Amino acid sequence: MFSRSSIHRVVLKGRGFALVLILLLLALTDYLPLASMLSRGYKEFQNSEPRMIQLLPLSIAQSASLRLGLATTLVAMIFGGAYAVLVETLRPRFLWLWRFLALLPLAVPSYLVALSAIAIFGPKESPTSGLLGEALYSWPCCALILGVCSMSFVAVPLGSTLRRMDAAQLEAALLTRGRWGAFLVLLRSCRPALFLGAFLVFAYTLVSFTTPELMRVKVLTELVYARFSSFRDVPGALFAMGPLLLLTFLCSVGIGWMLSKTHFDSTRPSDGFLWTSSPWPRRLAPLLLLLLLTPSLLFPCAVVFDGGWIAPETKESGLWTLFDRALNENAWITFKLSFTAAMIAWGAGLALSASGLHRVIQGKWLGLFLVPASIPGPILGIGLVLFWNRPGEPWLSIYDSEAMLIFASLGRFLPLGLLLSLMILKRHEKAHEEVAYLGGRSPLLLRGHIREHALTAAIVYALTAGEYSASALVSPPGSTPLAVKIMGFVHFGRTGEVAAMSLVLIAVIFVPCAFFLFCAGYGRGESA
Amino acid sequence: MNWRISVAVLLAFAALAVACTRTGNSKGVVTVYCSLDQIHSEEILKLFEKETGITVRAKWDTEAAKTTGLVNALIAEASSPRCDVFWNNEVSQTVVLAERGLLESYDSKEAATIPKDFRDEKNRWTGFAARARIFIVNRKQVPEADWPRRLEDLLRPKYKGKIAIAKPLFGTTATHGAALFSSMGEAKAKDFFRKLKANGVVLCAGNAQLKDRVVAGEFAYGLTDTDDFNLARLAGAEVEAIFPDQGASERGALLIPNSLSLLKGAPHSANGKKLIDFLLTAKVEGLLANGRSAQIPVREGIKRPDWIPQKLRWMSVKWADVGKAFKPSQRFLQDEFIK
Repeated sequence: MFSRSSIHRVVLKGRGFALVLILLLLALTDYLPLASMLSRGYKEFQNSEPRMIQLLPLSIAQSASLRLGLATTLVAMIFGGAYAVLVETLRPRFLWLWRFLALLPLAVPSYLVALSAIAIFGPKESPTSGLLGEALYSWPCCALILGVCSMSFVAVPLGSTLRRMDAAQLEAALLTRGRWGAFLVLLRSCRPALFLGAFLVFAYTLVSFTTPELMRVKVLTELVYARFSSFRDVPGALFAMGPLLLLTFLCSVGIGWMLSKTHFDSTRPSDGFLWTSSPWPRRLAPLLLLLLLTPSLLFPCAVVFDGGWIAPETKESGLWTLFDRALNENAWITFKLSFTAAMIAWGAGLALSASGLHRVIQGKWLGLFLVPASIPGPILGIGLVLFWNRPGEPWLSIYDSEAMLIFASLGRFLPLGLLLSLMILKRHEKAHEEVAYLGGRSPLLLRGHIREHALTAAIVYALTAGEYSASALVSPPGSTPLAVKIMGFVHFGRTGEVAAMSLVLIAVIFVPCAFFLFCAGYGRGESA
Repeated sequence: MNWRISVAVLLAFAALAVACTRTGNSKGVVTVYCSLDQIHSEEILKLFEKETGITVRAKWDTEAAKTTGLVNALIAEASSPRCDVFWNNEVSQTVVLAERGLLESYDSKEAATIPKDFRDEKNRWTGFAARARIFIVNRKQVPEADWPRRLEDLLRPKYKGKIAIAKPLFGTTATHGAALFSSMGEAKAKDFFRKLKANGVVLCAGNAQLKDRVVAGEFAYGLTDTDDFNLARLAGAEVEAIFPDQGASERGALLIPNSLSLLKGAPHSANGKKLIDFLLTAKVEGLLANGRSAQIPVREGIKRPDWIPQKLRWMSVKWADVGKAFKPSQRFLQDEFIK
């Protein structure tokens, strides 16, 4: 895996600095907090009451994490797979826009979709009951919501693979083995991308906390959160997170493995192939694509009209004050912190590029980057609190600052950003980079290297702005990001109030995200 | 290293440094940990800012952690606290902090009109604006003649499997359990909860969920808080609030007040005292009573929401004893209901 020439490049050429920088970031935000939690847990385990631990296996067995993960993966594969296949085989008009939109479900936090679903279909306090009533609070509904919100994880790699598929090869299969044979060839080529997406969605679901909590689905992350936050039971929290970490670690390895087998390692996509020459499927495609996007993109808008924004009682003067405050205070905090995290992720992507590490680490080892991302939000939050809260030491100034929120989001999403950067870098021709090295220049000078990492920044920005599970634990007094504020209003707030803040959050996510994606040239030409 | 990456790294760290700055300034700042929902307390804290010019840095608890999240944070930060005032939406956890020696005595001049039942003997905390533990009854499911009037009506066999309580390990239900342990005595309280379990009582995740399920007709009635009931009432649900044990010889409804305390070693102690004085005023109790949480003023002479009886018989509890009963009651309830 590590060739002598690679080591020479990384270490002797001084590019090890970039690697050290990345590792330092990961250490401060992931490894040290986790180590701190393990160490504290071990110490407290020696003095803890065994009866508390005895109750945990039952709770773990009762949790719906596994079935929720599997069902969500299935939903995401159906929605994401259909989206990618429709876009890449029908090639509707404004193709770049549809490719661009494939990423947008990630920019709508799943808890906003859950809140909208509860407002529209859930039980109503008024005598007229909702469509689904209490049945909405179930793991299949939760899986549906999480699945549509994570369809991008499947749609993007699958779309990218389909676009780089050799049309001649498919044509040959069609001629020699018929339609079914051609389909099998297509499926075999897409399998790594599909599994990559499936592993990503599965890991993403296992670590999700807020949406299952809203949907009243008991999951392991909630158990971990409750053990720590309600009982300060660190050994119990560690015990509960054991199976979770094992599963997500296996997912990380799977993701790396599948990533090494996917077929999008070329900056020159082929012309792809058209499923049909008939004009009608192409004309209908936008409608179908919009339908697939509806749950994640239109639910938050729909809630505005569902007795929320326009309901008479929410036209009281208080709503405007709330909207104004959310816009001026919480939105600014959210933007500032997310932008900082996104810039750091962009910088880390560039550092990765400069280090040449993407040529050194190959195969399933790529998944190692994702291991820290598999730490669930509540666990990361607990680790950060335990590591950075050092009363009487200068560390307290960090603990009492907004940097904790940045650390929380970097801890959760920087590894995912790095993986994305590796995927971007993987597409570049090795020969071009060799030429740059021989010329004594960094591969950063290659066209597009800097610009393309804006995609990493966009994803990290979107996920950070909507992050709740770790932020709720680490947010310092006086700094409430929008996500935390929205969740604080869920219980007693009116639908209109939650809708007003949700709209602000969506605007705070969408506008800079679109800017980053525009910078990256996403959706146009080679970069998708 | 290429100059561009240096610039990118520098920019990122400059942004981090800007973001790392402490919020507010050291003068004119007070830090409050508040477990009353942000929606109810934020406006009041803003009012304090407006009246005094002191910046309030507030941290709220999450619904998932109930009150205990902030209490645990206060315990963890004890050796170097950053919090000045703890505004708890109940009392038992405040008593836990007081027993650990984390609270400073402060006899606010505004506390003079507050009944003794709602104040700590050593002035380590002061109660105000309470919630009551009440029955929420689905009017369609239960005829008026059958409405529960006493706590023991939770044991009626007629409604077996149709009665609910919130999980008694968190929030006000846990406090209620501890209060019963302290007032009835351990043996009687245990007997009551065992009978409750035998009657097929259903455990809901929280009071809000219980309220939703009673409104939906899934349960006939259950035990919840006045603030949760008020949400259902405002939405026009067909439910009734019954304050239990209001007869002359009965124990009365449990009132759980908000509690305010000053942290020992608080960095902005003087401002903390100003905030406590402000929050204990009759004006703030009035605001909380007229708000969506419909908190019940503990002082006489402040108008209560219309649906709350103006003359209310409340359960006389010694909160210090409730604090002591908290752990044994938790252990029993966990063994009895969660296993």
